[in-house]
Amino acid sequence: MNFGQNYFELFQLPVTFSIDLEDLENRYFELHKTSHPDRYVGASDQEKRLAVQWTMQINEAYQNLRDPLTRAIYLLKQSGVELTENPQMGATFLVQQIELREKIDSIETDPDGPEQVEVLIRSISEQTVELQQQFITAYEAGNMSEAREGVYQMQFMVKLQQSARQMEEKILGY
Amino acid sequence: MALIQITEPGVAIDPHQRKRGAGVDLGTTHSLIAVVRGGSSVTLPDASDRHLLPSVVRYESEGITVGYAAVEAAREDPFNTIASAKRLLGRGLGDIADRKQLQNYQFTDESAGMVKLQTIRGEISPVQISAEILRVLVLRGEEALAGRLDGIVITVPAYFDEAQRQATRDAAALADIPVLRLLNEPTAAAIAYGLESGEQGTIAIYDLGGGTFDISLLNLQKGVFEVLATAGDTSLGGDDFDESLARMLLHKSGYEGELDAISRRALLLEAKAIKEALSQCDRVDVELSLPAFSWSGVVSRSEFSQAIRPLIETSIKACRRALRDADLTESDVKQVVLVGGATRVPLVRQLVEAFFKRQPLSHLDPDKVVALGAAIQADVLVGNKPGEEMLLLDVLPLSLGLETMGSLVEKVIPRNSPIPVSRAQEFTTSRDGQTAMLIHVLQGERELVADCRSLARFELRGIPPMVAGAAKIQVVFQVDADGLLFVTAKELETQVKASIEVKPTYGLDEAEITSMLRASVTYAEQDVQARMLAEASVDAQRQIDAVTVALDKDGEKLLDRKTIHHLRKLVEALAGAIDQQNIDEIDSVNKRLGQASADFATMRMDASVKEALSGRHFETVVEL
Repeated sequence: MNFGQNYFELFQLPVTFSIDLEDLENRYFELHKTSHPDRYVGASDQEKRLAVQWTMQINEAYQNLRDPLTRAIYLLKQSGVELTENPQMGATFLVQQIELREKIDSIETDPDGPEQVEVLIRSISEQTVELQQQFITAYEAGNMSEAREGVYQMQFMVKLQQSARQMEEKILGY
Repeated sequence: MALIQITEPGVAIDPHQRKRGAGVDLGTTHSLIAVVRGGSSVTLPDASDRHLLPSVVRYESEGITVGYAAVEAAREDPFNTIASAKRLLGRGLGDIADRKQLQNYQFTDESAGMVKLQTIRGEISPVQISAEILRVLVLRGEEALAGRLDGIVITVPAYFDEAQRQATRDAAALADIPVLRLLNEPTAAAIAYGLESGEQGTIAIYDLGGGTFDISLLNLQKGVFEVLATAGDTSLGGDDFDESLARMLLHKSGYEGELDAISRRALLLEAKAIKEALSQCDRVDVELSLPAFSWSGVVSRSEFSQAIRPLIETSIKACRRALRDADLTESDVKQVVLVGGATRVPLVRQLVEAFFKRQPLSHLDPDKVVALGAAIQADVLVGNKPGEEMLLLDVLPLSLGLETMGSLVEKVIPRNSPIPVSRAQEFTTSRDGQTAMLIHVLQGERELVADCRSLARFELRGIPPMVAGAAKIQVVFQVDADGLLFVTAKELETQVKASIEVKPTYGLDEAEITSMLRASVTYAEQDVQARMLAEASVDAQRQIDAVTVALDKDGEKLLDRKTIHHLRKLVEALAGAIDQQNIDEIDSVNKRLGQASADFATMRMDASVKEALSGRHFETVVEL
């Protein structure tokens, strides 16, 4: 098995950020119908082991391509662009982040919390989609430093979204 | 233990012969077995035409009884009669410290590891108790299908953690029953309903049993059952409704004294009967006559509903959480299925319907639906439906992680990841010249070690001495299709594989299983020899069949003539060794055939994965 095979090759898709998730899912199911361990219950131990390895690889590839952020990171890696763990972000962006964080924190005591948090979650989603658009433009133009900047910003937004959701769970008492 | 089929020596098993598979619902209060017969799934009754087997086992000095007979003995022989062992599977004393069950039995004083019960036949593990229940059910299945079972599918709550799943597997190993797959209970229910009505889209399985609650969201597409998310509460169920109702009766009667054990039990039984009656009528006349007090009066459905409403609302919160995890809203759910006896309560149906804004399905018996689905899956897995499109894609129910500095948990595989899955995590040493490392594997969603479940501790030894931070130790977590975890580790710089010692916190180790097997009377020494030979032969025959089929199909396409000839020779030699019943020869030739055909197997698998997507037409619409 070729573990070095890239995720796009595995799904026989062109290497690009814009993929149709429904199409990806169909391909994912078709691959599983061939390789899933359930298809090899009566097979030799060797075939069983191969089936498990393939299925793990398919799952890993699917998880990475399905999520826009991991897909973007994967594309950059394929282009040889390395990401750092603690990137330096621009001042404007950081100020915006701090404001959003403060907003999340203030929701806990807000009597309109449940509605406020829903509005906030939607707004963060919209901003994330905008960042994805910016990433596509930069990536397709071969502007890798800008594309990388876009990924860093997306990472911040994803973390912010997690905090917003945790706050929602907290105030709704899940 | 592998499955054993006794055939005449040298006679290959007819591959077209129908295999025997069964589905087992190993429940907290009762268990069932189902098989597919004449194309439809049916549960199997005992000689008295009772389909449910109470999950109760009684240990006596001269034998073991399971089911109804054991239930009757519960009052006179409480410490030797064990009910609800499922709640103890894979659990330590600390896990059940606040449970009622602790008062009911005599636990041995072991602070670490899975609980054990003190009985007249010595210390008994919950795994052994579950094995006894499995034996009775499997016997029922074998009588119905007239022969040994080729394998069973056992259902487990979707929320079962690693230790509980492993304990379930161990129970089957102990009963010497080959397990095809552990299947999540809600998924089993979806199979039963999904296949019947050909549903497509997202469905929710609301499963409220005697003691546990599960909500699962599944995506059904063209025969594929994909689990999107699961959530639940392992201590919420119909028993809690009984408790609420009992408290209400107590309050109504005005009795304020302490309740003796017999009165308490009788009151709970009465409450259960009233609960069931209230599913049919609006009000019930009650005549209580207990040792402690007597009372007569009326209980209405609306007062009962009021008492249990908070409990059901807890379950609705879990539904909301599962939707959130799957990134869905209530309106995305196309169908809701009710499973578990407690879903017969009208308020449950009403609140579930109100939440999902859709009338739930309940036309299959909620007590049997899980076993029915498991039997269908077993039938597919044993190979009775070649070309069958049905495929289950399951997820990890709880996150897996490792302990890091400051007693924090670092997540390695997040919950709801599709399985099988493999993830690697790198660690380094904290001291110069450090050659060993203790790694602690945990399961759960919380950040602190103390709030998660300890699964195992790993000691890595043989790390080459280096300055602190220079060693790179890669720990790989692999979860198989049953949700069971395997861990390996190596030092990356030097490629030295560190030795690992696994100490499952709540599981049984190999030695314990072996000693339990030895202890069971069915295994005399000569049996062991015969079993080993039989197992080796079955294994070898499977290898022969696999290689022969592969050669016939793809040999000329992928291999040169010399390799084909070599493999055919080995197949012949292996068949000869089986004929002679020479175990050493069987093992050695089987191993050589395995090695010689390894590349061929890899090539075939690569080719088939590639082919899976060719010749299929996908609509490629490019969008974000």
